[in-house]
Amino acid sequence: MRTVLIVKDLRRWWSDRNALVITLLLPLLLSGVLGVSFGGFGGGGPQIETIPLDVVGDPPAMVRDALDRALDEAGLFAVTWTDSATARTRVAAGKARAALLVPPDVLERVFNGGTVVFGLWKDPGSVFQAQIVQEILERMVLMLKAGEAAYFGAWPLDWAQPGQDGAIAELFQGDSSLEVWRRIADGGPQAKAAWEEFRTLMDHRAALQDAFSEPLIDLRVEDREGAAPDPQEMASRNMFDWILPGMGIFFLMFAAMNAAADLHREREGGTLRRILAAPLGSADVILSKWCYAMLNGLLQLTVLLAAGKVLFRMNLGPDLWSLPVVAVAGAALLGSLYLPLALITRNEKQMSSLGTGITLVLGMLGGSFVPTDNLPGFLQKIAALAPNGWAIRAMTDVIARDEPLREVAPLVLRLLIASMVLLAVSLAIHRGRGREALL
Amino acid sequence: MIQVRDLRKNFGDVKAVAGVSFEVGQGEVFGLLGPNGAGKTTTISILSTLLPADGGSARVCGHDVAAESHAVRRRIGVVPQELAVYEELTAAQNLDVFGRLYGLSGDGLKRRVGELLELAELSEHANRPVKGFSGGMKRRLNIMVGLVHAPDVLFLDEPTVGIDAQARTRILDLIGQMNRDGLTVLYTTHYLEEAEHLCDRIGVIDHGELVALGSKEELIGQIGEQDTVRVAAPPALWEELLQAAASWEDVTAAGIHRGKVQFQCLDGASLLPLLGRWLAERGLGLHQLEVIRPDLESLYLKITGRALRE
Repeated sequence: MRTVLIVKDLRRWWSDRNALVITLLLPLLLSGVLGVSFGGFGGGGPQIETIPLDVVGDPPAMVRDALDRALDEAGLFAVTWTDSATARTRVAAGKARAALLVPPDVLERVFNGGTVVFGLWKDPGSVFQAQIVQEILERMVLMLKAGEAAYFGAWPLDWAQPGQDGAIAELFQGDSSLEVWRRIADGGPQAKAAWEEFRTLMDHRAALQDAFSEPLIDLRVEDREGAAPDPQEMASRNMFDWILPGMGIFFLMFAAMNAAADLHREREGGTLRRILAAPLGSADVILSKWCYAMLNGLLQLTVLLAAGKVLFRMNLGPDLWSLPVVAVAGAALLGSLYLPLALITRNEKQMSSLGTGITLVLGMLGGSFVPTDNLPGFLQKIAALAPNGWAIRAMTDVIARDEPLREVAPLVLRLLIASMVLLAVSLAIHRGRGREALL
Repeated sequence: MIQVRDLRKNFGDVKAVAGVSFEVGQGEVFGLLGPNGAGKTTTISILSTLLPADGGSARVCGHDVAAESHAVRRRIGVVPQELAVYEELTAAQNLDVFGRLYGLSGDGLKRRVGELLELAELSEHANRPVKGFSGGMKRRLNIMVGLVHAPDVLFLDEPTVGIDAQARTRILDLIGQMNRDGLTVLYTTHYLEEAEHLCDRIGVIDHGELVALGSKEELIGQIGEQDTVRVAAPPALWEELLQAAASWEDVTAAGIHRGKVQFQCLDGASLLPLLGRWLAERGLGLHQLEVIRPDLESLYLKITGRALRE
């Protein structure tokens, strides 16, 4: 494969205003309209319903209020306080996505130092993210501890007994620590009492310092067998997270078709004849075109995702690599999807007609317009074979369900294998027809 | 540099090339002359390894085009009939892309691009997108792209189609200049004047067959036709003039053609003094004089029974 052919195609694309509009601006515009319609700027539009979360335990009112407030401020959960047995049943039945177990010694742990151990039951099939709950609990415990610290910091002398106001100040009056020491050693009961008071105060401060130096909480997650998760229950509450994968892949299909159709344009313009007269294999031409289509698609996706992130606070997955890997696999598949079509059609017009039809059908089956779950049963079976649907599912899992790469690895693998198969088919068509196929 | 033996190529029932044989020597400009659909482009496509032949053999620069296609491709340059350049790229970028396909890079490539742009008188437009070029400029660039890797043999497939006379002259001059530098050229055209002006030897191709082959003079010699001289004269003198012409050496036939007296002779130029003197003796001059020499058009007409552009 010759890099110069890929660079050449990218340069041509970059110099072609129409191509830029079709592959970058149009998707941005349409996604923007959809994002504003469904997601709202900054993700402030209509949102998906809250996640049902049961909370088990009977903590003191102070902790209960703090936990209620913290969960409510997160804006993600519909909280139900209940007992352990009920919570277990509700999680198993899928009525609650998880149950949070609050330990009975929560208050002592908070104020006397030590890690607070919470429990979380969740359905193993659920996409519930324990990380979110952990962060909320940490914040809550931190606030409780910070409140105590602020209390001591603001009113340290409240610990002094009535009538002893100013005793500590009197004790430390003077120019040298020797004088203070003599006053404590030789002083009367008032000085000794002031000294004891001072030591108590210092001990409390030391205890507080220790409390902050330990892990605040320990969230122990346990799976509880239960019903299959309801597919309608969604991890992300930003509608744009659910729309973009379908739209992005749909636009990517058009970009890929346009890139493959370039074989026809080059043939009709005579440049392909010239390239084939150069000392390189004709397979190089096909592989280069695939790479170009893939890079072009990746660029388009990058712009869409960046715009989604900036304008609509779109989620880009649980880590830095899951979404890029899925995007590369998706672009690899779509880059190869239209190459066989380019090789079996006679001209760009024919390819464009057939390709548009195929794109619309695949878009429908793959879930670009409506979720595949909403299709009739027999269509769902056909839709499962739509390769663009695999790409949409993988992207949705990462973006909207915040799933890491290991969860979507089977889909990624499937995309890459399909891409290789389609490339092999393209090369076989080409080999079967010889260089004439490109002339 | 090029040896073609009994080359054949069919597209279904259509015989595009039907047993063509010819040779082209080093530094020669060889023209394939014929109308559209005669088999010129198919022949060039086979020689440039783009199409496999159905029969016969062809060697370019000593390499078999079928068995050693990569070796052939390194030695040839191809200028297709279409304007095979990228309109979105600049002239320099076009040359750069094709140079890199042949393994050129760095300063060597940069220098070569500069030389070719200068040769094509496109240096001032090196960094302009090709889509803004005139037809002639694009054609010149089209040829330069075929030369970027300094090939030994250049295949030019109708490189002057669709451009004005002035641009065509510049291109023909350019090709002549390259040939003087030692380049072997196989040139296809359906323009007689181009073949006559540019080519050392010409192969006339029709319906996939090479129907005549040789230098311009040899080909015209094959026709065996004579010059035709026509002159205007008063009808009253026609009979007398025809009788006089019968006694003139070289004149093989005389008659009246569309109001003029017409003579067939071996050399039209030698007839003019005799004719001028005869008319002057009767107080007349040479008016509406036509001397028609046999040309490749006559040859083509004679061989195929139809004009080249029909």
